[in-house]
Amino acid sequence: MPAEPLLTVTDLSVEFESTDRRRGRQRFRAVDGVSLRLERGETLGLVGESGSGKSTIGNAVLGLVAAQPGSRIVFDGEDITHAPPKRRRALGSRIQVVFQDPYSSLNPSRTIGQTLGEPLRATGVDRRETQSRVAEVLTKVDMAPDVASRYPSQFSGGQRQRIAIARALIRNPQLVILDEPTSALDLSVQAQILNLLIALRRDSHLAYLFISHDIDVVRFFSSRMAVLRHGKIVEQGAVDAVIERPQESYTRELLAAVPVADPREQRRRRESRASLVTDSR
Amino acid sequence: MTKLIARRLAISVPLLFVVPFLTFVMATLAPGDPARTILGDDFTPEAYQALRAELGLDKSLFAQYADWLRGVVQGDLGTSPVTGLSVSSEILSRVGVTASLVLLTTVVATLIGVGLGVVSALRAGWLAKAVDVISLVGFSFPSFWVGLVLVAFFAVKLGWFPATGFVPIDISARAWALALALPVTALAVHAIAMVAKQTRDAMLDTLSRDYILSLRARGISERSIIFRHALRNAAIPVSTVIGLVFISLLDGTVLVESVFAMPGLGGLVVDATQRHEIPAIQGIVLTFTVVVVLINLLVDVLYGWLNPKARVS
Ligand SMILES: Nc1ncnc2c1ncn2[C@@H]1O[C@H](COP(=O)(O)OP(=O)(O)OP(=O)(O)O)[C@@H](O)[C@H]1O
Ligand SMILES: [Mg+2]
Repeated sequence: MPAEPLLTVTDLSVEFESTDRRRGRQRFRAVDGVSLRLERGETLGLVGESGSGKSTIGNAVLGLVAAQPGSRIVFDGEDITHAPPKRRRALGSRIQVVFQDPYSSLNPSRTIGQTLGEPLRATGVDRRETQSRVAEVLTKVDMAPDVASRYPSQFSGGQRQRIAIARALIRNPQLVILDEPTSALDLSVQAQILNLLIALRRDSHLAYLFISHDIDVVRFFSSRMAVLRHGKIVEQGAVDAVIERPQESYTRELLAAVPVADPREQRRRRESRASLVTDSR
Repeated sequence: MTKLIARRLAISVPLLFVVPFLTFVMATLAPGDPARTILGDDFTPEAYQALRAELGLDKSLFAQYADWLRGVVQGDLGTSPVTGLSVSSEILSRVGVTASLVLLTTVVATLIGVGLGVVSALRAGWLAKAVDVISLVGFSFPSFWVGLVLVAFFAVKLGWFPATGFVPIDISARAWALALALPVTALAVHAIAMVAKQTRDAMLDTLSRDYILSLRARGISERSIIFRHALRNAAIPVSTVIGLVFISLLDGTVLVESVFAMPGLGGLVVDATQRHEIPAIQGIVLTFTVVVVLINLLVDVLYGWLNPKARVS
């Protein structure tokens, strides 16, 4: 019997209320009947233009937005679609998230050690054990353990993103939702962080839901991908199949739009990213 | 932290000289003459000259200022040429009124303003609108006008509070509170508006941060998110505004004290200015300057405590 998938999303819809001055209050579907499957240790790329509903899907899995009736989110055999806060606290050790903006993802008035240790302390881990696990996870993300006593303002965007990754990993999750984790970073830093995520995936058998508007990054990072438009999935499959033989004109447009118009510059970027990838590990 | 305080103090010390000096120049050059005020309409030129010499008014501007400064350094703020009372004892006898007003208003504005701001940041609906209305009223109507309306309604019509006057707290706490209720309310409307608006903006900004989202994703309770994680960061800009509110109350109190006929420093400023009593004006200005410097220092310390970024640099 094949092992069941780690995450199955079936018919997920999310509605928001938009307040338009002229038309008054209106409900609109940001996510509309989306179904996804994510195997253990696999990376599923989620691409689409801005506003297509990528983050909203991630947020629904995290329980940050409410799914419409009829939606079903099953994680490791458990229906978590409307998991209450108590259940969420328990799930926190197994589903984690890294957001896009490194400057708002860490509490500025807490030290790195406090931020990383907090989820452990909250679940009753003692101080000594917490300290050693904070040091351990910092080493995992290639940071010196002594940064624990410093504040976020003392770090660059790339370093902060490493710390945010460390916070996601400290309780050894099975699934990490990566919501554009590198799109606020410089190109070279971006490559370093992607490499780090790949190494971590290999070492810890992590599954990633990797959200990006850059189809080029997704191709390099994921095994399968789903293409999202106006809240609906227009194409889903193995990365190579989707990219080599895009069935939808929308996917072709996304491919063409990436991320600079000049093809020479595109090639240069791709090569520089590839060289950084092979160099560092 | 000690370095920060030392640097702040070093910047502030010149203020203690510059502000009274500018006041002195302006007060001296303003039309009016204390010697004439004392002598009345009927006097001889000789008596007039003698009095001016006695008061030191015949000396140059700088010499007069130097005399005053020498006194201050020795702890003597001078005496009023008109009443003959010592300026420092006059200030001491009135400072309780102004301090009661300003401190109580700051406390009230902080508690209500922060409370309203936090709650309205959390609930969009009617409470947010209520804060908007309070802000609009607070920003549009001057305190003395609010004070006049309050007197007309609650003191004159309903008779719930005294319309004027002040009772020291050590004589009767109840009478003290009753006497302060209306003037504090008059001053607090604007102060609450400022604090509530800043708190709401800071809270909304903080709550939209990704670190708050990642706490929510972990099922952390809303109460713990607000009190343990968000409030401290939101408090940084709010503490600055509370400092500004306190300082703006120092001049707000001048008019409110006169509306409610309270014997505070504001009243003394008005009397002294009308009678051209430079030592009294100088003494109060110096007192206010010292208070402003201290408040700014306090805000800086608080700021450094709340914000590790400021502490490091
Ligand atoms: N909390 C919310 N309240 C109301 N509307 C929302 C909310 N979150 C998202 N939306 C709307 O839902 C739609 C999808 O947003 P979403 O953030 O999922 O897009 P995205 O694909 O992640 O875009 P981007 O690439 O810009 O991050 C957008 O129109 C957005 O304005
Ligand atoms: Mg997004």
